[in-house]
Amino acid sequence: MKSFAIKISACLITGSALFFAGCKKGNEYYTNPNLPTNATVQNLLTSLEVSTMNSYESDIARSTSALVQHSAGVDNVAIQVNNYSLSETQWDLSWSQLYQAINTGEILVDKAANSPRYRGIAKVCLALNWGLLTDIWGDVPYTEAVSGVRFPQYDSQEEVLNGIQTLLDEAITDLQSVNADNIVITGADDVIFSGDAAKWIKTAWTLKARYLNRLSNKADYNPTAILDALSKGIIAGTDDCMAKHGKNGTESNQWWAFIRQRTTYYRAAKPFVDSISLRPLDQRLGKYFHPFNGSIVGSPVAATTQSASAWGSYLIGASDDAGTPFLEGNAETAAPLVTSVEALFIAAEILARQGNILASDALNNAIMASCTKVTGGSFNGAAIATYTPVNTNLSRVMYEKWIAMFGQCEAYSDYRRTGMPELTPNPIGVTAGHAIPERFPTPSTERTANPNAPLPSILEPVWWAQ
Amino acid sequence: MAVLLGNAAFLSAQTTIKGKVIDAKNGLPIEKASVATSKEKATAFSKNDGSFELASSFASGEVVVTSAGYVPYTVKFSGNSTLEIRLQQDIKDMSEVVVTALNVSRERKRIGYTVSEVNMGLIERSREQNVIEALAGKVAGVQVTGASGTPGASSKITVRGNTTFTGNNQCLVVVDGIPVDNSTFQPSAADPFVNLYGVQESNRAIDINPADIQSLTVLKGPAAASLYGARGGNGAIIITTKKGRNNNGKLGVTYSSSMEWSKVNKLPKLQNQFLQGMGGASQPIQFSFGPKADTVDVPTYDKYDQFFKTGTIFTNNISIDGGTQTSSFRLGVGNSTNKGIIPNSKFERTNISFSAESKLKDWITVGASANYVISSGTRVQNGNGRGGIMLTLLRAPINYNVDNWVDAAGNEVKYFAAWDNPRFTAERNPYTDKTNRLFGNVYTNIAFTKELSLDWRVGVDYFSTAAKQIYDLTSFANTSGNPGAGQINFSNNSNRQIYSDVMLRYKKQLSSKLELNSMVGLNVWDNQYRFNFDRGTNLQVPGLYTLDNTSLLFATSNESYEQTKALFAEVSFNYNSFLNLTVTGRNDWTTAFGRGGGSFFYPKADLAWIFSEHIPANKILSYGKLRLAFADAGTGPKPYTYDNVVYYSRPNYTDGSVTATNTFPYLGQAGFAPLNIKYPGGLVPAHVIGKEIGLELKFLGNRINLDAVYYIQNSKDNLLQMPVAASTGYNYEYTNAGEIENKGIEVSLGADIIKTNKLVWNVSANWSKNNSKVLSLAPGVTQIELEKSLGSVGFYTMVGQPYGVFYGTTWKRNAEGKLLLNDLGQPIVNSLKSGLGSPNPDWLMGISSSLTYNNVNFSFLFDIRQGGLIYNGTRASLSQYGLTDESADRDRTYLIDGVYDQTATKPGEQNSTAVTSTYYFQTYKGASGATENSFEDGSWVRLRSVSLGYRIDKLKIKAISYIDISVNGRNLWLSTKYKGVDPETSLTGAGSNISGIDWFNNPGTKSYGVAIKVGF
Repeated sequence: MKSFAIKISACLITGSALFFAGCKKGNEYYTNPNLPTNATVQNLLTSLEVSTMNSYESDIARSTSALVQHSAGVDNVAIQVNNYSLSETQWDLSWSQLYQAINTGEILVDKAANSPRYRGIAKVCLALNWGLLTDIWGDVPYTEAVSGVRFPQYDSQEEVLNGIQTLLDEAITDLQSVNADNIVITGADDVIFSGDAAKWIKTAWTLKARYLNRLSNKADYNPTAILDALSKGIIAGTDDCMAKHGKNGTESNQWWAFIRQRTTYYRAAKPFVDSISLRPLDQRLGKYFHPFNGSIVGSPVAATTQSASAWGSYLIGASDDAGTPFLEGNAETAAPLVTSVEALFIAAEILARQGNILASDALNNAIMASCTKVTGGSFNGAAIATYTPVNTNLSRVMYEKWIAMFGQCEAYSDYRRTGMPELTPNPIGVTAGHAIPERFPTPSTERTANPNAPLPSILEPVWWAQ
Repeated sequence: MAVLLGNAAFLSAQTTIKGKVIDAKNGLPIEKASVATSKEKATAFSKNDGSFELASSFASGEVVVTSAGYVPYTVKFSGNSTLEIRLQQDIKDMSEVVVTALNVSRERKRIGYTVSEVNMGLIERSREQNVIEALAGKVAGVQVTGASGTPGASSKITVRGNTTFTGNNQCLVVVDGIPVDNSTFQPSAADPFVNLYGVQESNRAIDINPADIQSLTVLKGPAAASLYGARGGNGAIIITTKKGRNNNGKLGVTYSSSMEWSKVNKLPKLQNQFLQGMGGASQPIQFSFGPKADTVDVPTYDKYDQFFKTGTIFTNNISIDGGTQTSSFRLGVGNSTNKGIIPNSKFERTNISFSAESKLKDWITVGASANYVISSGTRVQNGNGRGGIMLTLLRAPINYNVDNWVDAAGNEVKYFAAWDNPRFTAERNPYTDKTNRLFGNVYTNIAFTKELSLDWRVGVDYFSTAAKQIYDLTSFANTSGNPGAGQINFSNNSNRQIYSDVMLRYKKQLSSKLELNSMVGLNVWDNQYRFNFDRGTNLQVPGLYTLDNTSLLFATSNESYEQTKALFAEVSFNYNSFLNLTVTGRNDWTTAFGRGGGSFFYPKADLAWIFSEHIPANKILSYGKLRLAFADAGTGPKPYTYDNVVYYSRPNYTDGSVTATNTFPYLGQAGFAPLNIKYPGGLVPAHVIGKEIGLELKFLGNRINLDAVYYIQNSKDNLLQMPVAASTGYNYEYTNAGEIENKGIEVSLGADIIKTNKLVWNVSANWSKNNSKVLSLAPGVTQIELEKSLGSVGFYTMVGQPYGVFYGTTWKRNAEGKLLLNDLGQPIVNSLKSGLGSPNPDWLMGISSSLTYNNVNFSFLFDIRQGGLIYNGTRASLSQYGLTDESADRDRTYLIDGVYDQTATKPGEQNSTAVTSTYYFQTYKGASGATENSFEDGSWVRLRSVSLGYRIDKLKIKAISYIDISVNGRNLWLSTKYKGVDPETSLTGAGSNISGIDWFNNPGTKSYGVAIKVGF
């Protein structure tokens, strides 16, 4: 019996020992079966572009839309923004997404050493992400950001703007490379321009103009350089840099996705509706907003109401469903990022500042371009583009640009930079003196994880607005 | 099967042997003891009063009396006799021996750490479907939180607080020596914040049938569970299932059945005077600030009464067992079906369990047990979704008829465009799931000599859960794309664990006073996990819920593999039966540490000293033991986190407000971006270092017993996904950081107040207090967000604070704490958020008592939780919509107590500007006011269970040996100041470290029922 016991036990022990030592394990035990450790330049480019488009039409865009009284926040967190109660956690995700896009862009630039066009598009996208960061938050981590430093130092906005110009200059050089210089050629993976380098070059020049024009209050302001950049930038509406969307549920226009899901949050703001309505011929109103009970109604900024118009076909697409207060819309509606309209307004602004007699023509051109774009060509705007040298001035230019920049964060930057148009701040705004916030609060995620994060008041203007 | 199994009725000369079998120690009758004559093997079994009667054809001889847990006893008889047989408890019996880590049975008096046995009678009488929920209030130091009273909702268990920041804080669950999965899985398409909406899932320990459990012990703290190495840091629950009894080859059958009816036990109080609308005017909007009901001729409804039903639970269990001296088996089949208080909600579990054991030879025993479980349910939508049952029900205006949920065309009828009707959700958006699970093990024990033996065990736990979520056409709750367009989600997650250990034991009496027990062993643990998720959007043909019937498809998958091997050893010295020292060590190698990666060592030592051996025998103190234990257990990293590597993932771009996120494929293109988690590499295992001192005292001949423990547990080098500054390009870094300290006291007291043959009355109580404190986080970091929560209230951990603090906005106040108001008389929200207190209770207490008089038993359990805040976001939100009871007082203005802020025109002066009632309820008291408004005390005292039972054992039908009949109540009485649902609630369930957040959480239930149990 004993010997039998020993035999069985020996087998068991040997078996267990083999089981223990052996148990051949595949790579799946050591190598993540779900996530790759490398990505192609094509995959990185697409995600960088989508991230950038998303950032320009998400919470920052909606919130600034309320702060410049394009929209009124009439429910939940939208009311808080409307009343200038800006929560430090609200834009945590927006802030993170911008820096993650920058991380993606920098990795793409490294990986695209032999494909300069990828590098070039990446740098234009980097400029757009840095631009939004510094426009909204002023000083931000720049030199030490996305570099492995745990607590990145904050850099001045001036330094970030210089960096943007450098990025765009490099981008233009990279994009000018011939096919032979590129191992991989951009194509459909470039969802914005399908690999058209010439359009990216124009976008880069227009962006150079945009960020140079931010310096209008500063000693470095250089109108000549801006006009030069504009001349190389986007001229034709067909070259506009638009956020491209699709219908498959992962590609949705985020203005559309938001109003479909959060139907009660935002409505047209009364000051904006009333301003456009001063010129009954202006057909942009019906494109910006959807009729409520048969007419376009704006919600007052203070005593807000949901019984007002929601966003219209310009931002969220046309549909034939006129019966409901909410436009059905269309997920694949493209949204503006950098356009010829903006370029024309920048030119008009410079000429108006210079007192140039051509300012009125430039302004009229800009208004007509805007009307054409917003109405899809059905209204060319000539009927309202009637400025003359006598009644054209910077104030009118900025007022018209405010009307044209609906749905773009540019309107908020312009307002802070020029103080125009003269908006009446929300009388129940919770800031001191009910003042319109000049920036967003330092995101909570950065405040709590980076001891270098400053905590400026939201009423403190960013550098270029000072 | 018969009480009397005498034979040879035709023999003329017959001797009748009568008598009673009692416990030599406490004098209580012993039931089902086998009484057999040694010659012709005539056998009888004692009844529940210990009596037996046996016929023998011999005039004299010997009877052998055996009973599980007692030393066999042989006594002579001569002629008709009446015998009183006093059996000595076998020292290895259940009451003196507890099952500890790795299924090792140890004498309780030799243990120097804390093991709590749970009274199985209390578990049975709790009538809980979920064994975890059944532990509530029964064990000191154990906190159980059920997510809600809906069928199959998860219950979370923590022992001695939280030991990790972002990892798993629940204890290990072990069944028959094999760790089993107790995860709570929420399938998601990698959508963010999935925990905040969706349905309430089960924790997988719900698959264990409480009727199959023989015993349950809780190993508290790392000292008790250190032999589980990397998974022992949170303690463990050790479950032993029922095995066949030695009935001398006869079959025993037990049948039990219970019925229970449940009702919602607590709901928020709402106003019933004002209709839908704003500013006193009727409008089809989400607010109830409309006209007064009695001024308008529209019907109003009691939506609670309309919506909630009486739930039912039917439970049936049957088991057959049998055995001889050498072999035994048990087969159990059970079904429990719970239909909930919410229409169509259901949870059903069917268990088949089989176990067999055979002593093949004197020296070898083999056995096996297998459990097959089918758990299925129709789940209840919870929390923040636009189809959340409570969100849409509670927000409904009183003029809305919840029962009018669908029109003639089959489309949903809503009271407000963006939210679903809760009935529609319950009827047409079902989330159904089914889990098939198999767990069990085979084992053998070989005794080479009296000193040397070998135990080997291999077990498996496999389950696969398939779930289907329908969002029907016209529902706005679908998460992707176009609201109202219809959506179907299919998910399947499967998990497989193989576990094996082999242990060689050596026992030696070194001298007359010194005994050595030692053991060395090997352990392998292999885990595989897979998850698939498919989503179809835009339903085409109404009523057909297949992926083929949708126009947009999306899929994602995930898998994970991990294997741990361990070598462990234990040496235990026992000196003169009063001093015992045990030292153990375990070394783990895990694949999570990479190929050729490091290993880690977990030591433990415990000392038990029965000091009462040194005290002269006295009538007061009958037993006294001091325990000391030290252990270092811990947790390893998650798989694939060890290397310094940059991962890329398909990103989801969203600002958090939109579920139709931008992801890939995008316009036909794939996209990858660096993962937002950084893996810097160089991880070390997290350690939970536990020290404890315990005292066990028994008084008055063991009639009163007291167990008290003080412990300190420090969790160091926590492995956590630590938030980092987003400007680094990452959101998180997976790293070792921070230290949590848990200090606590646990006291258990039991007393047999009356103990006579007819009347037994005992009372027991347990009390525990755990204070946690976060000693450090990463350098330069004083607070981190533990888990994504609601926008209005974060769930953080902060240095110097307890584990888990609420985080949110506060009102601006002056130095005296007075509110600072603006010119409109309104308070001002501070720009920075801050910590707002903790959901952790101050202390927990359970008081139970059982009174048995003859065949009648009455027992109850009070469960007390003192302290711990709950964020009542539900109430804040309902205030915003004009629905809380207090908001009925709205025909007036409100003057908020405070002084004017420095930005106002009269800084420092007492406020004299009244605000409108709309502002007061919508903003000041509402969800958009400061978060600090919305915290309430979550304390409770509840009658967790009460039961009255009667046993019939003198039946005319010989085949039936007893019938137990009982009536039971659960949660029949609840006392709490909390204004929402039952404060035992969790938005995010057992799979989350968030607690104390109520955002339209589903309500709890109270129930009463009857049960019958028949033994054959």
